[in-house]
Amino acid sequence: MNTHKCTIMVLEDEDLLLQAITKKMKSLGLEVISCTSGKQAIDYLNNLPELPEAIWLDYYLKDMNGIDFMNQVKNNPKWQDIPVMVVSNSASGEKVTSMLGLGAKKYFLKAEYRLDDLIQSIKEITGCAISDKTLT
Amino acid sequence: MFTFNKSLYDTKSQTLVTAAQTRAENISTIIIDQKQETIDIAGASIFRDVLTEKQNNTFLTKAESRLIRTVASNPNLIEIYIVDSFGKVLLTTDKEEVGLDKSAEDIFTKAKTGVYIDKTILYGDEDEEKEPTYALSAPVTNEAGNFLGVIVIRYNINKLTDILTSRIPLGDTSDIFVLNNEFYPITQPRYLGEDSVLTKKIDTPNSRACFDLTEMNKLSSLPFGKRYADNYVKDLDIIKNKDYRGVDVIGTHMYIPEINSCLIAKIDAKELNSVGVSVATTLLIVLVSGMVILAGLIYLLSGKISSPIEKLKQGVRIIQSGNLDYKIGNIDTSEIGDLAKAFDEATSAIKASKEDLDKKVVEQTFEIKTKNEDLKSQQRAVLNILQDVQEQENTATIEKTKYESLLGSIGEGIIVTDSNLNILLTNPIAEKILGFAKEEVIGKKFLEVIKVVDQTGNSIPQANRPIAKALSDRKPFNITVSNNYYYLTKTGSKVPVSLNVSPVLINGNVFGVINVFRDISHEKDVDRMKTEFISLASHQLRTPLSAMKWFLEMLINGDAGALNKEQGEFVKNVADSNERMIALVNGLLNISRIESGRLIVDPKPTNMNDLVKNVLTEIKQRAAAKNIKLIVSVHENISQINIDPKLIGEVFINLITNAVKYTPEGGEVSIIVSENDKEIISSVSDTGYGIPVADQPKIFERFYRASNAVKNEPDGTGLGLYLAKAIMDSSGGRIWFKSEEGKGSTFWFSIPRSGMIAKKGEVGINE
Repeated sequence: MNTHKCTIMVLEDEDLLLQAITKKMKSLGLEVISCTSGKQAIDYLNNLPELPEAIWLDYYLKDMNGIDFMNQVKNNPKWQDIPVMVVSNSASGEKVTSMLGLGAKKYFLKAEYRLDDLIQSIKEITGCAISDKTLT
Repeated sequence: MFTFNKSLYDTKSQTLVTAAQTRAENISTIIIDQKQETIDIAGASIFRDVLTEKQNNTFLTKAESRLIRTVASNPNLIEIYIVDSFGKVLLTTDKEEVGLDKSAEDIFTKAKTGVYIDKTILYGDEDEEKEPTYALSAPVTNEAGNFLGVIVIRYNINKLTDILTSRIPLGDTSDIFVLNNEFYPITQPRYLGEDSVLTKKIDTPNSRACFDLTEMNKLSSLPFGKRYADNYVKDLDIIKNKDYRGVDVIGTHMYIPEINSCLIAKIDAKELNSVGVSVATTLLIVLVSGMVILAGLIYLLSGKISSPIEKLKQGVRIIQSGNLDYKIGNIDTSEIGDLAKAFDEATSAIKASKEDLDKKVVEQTFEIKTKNEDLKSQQRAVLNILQDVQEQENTATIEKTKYESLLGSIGEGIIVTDSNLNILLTNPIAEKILGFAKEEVIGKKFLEVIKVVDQTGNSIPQANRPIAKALSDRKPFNITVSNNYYYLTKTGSKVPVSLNVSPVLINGNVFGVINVFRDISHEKDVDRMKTEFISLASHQLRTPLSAMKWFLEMLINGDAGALNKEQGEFVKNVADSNERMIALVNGLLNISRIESGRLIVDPKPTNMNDLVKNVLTEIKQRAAAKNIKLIVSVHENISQINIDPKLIGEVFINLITNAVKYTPEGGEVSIIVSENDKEIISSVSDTGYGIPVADQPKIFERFYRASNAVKNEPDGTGLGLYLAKAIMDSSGGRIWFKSEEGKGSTFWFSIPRSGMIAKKGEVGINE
């Protein structure tokens, strides 16, 4: 098991949702890079000494949509291996197909899933250890 | 009764016969003519119309004015009336008779199958002078030949009287009149007053001989035109009898079958026997003068020979008096004898040619008369037709104006084509939408003038055009907003349209196509706004719901510290309500997708067994929690079927979730999938609460929940069955149920084996 503390980048333009996700992840022992816009996330990726283990991406962002962001990530050789999990309010077949086609690992419809379940998925994608005591 | 023999057959009586003959023919002609007139009038379309629609005021007014005009234009018509099929007078020129019942009268009953001539009667109001009349009636039928009623025309006898009186007098005592079959005169006899008409019976040997059955039958069987030919006339009896005055007369008669009457012609015997009576026929006078000259010549040439000459003289006198049958016979003196013989031969020749001439004159007169009458009836027929045409034109103009204003006031564009798809008609809206003037498109090929493209601007092949399909399939064809169908205007711009194209079928033959269309630019805008709303709703409503869901999750989880028991219950209630809200939003989104027709239908070969298994993984837990036994029976080898697994899965989820939800703990839910040669039938049965009978009719309605469902399970949107039914409706399937309160419910749904039809929509379900 990986003893390194995992860092997850979370892109969510809705502040309350971002708070909930961040709080939950931190309570489970994950490091979180919280971003409310695509540009902010790209800046972090460019400037942070270490890349995150995974990216939690909301499809609709204020400045760009999921596809634009995915394209930037996947077109950058340094970033293209970072696993991306999409958690969106909208899951039309078209969006799901495009995102999975661009290399997203998972696509979730936001209101349908509990945070626990979503974080369990992150764990599966990244192999990051999550402190078991709080997982239910 | 005394019958003349041939030798006594004299000119006068022959003239009498000829006169009777021509007059009887004339009367027959008039009656035949009036019969035709009656048929013509009965054939006028307005009478057919008014008898078909007896309450139609337009028809009634028109028909009445037609009757009045017809009577006014013919001095021999007294009245006309129309009797309906029940024998009731519908319309008449004499308003007092409207409504009278004629159902038992010959004039009605006997006219059902053809023209009938009713007996002569005196007609006229109490205070007026009555006049003898007769009536003709003819049936009115519709195009199919069904009996609609009868037209009755009453004629005066003026025309008949004219025939009898307006001729060269036959002699000082000659008398010609017509008797009806009851022996009453229809026309006035010479020696009786006007009031004798139809009142004084004239029963004489002559009249009785005329109404002799054998003779009546013989004449009735002969066609008009051949009836009074020489054969008949030759055998005709010249009757010597006493007339109605008791005076000795020589008379004859002609039966006239057309009016079942007899023409009686007679002359006083006294006059016939007197010498030097003027001869009516000019021809005969010339002939006789010729003979006088001849005789005079012979007389001058033969001074010496007295006896033969005397004999000759006597012969000439007899011949002179008109008896061309007289023969002088042999005279001994050879020269004179030769002369007598030559004379006899000359007389015979003259007689023959005279007879021939007579015959020809009669024949030609008759021919001219017939032709003249033919011409008259043709003219009348033409006038009738013209009047009909005029009326039809007027009606057509009114109808046309009606249609035009109707078409003009309709909000839809209308283009009508013939069966070759040539444009026959357009309305102003069609012209406005397409930018064409009427004159630019009428007569042109619809498929060439009206261009169609799809959303991306590609032309739609002609064979796939709705108008071509409606024509080939003989079925109406619809294009709605979701078909994305655009007409190109004259300037080439795209106009979104919805269409309804219907073939005009008459007895299974296509006569044309009616293309009704609407500019749906506005609907398209609304549709786009609806799409935007759905998208907005899905995003904006789900965001706060997600925030609540996740924070509540953490609260319940104790991430913000442990909650006491009551706090925990309250938070759990909030979380449950939130879940219900999320379900409601999802349900509404799904419904608006289906209702907008934008739902993607993406059929793929699906194994029902796998589908049911997949669905159950989501429900198993819930069933287990309530200790409900799930029984699944899907035939291992069930055929694959071409369906959209997401949509049919959604139907299964809704039905099974309901079954589990509305079945108390420890119950049973069974899912059975079977197939027959037409469809795949799935059923979901439970041993649950059942649906009360009162709720059953409304169970598929949106937001409707059965009363016991609300009581037992407060949570629920009332959208599940509505959604299941909407999915089945939109995919060619059926859904139905049986339920008994307290025992449980079974829901079935069937999908045709042909599967679901693919549809390129815009959104999927549950997105």
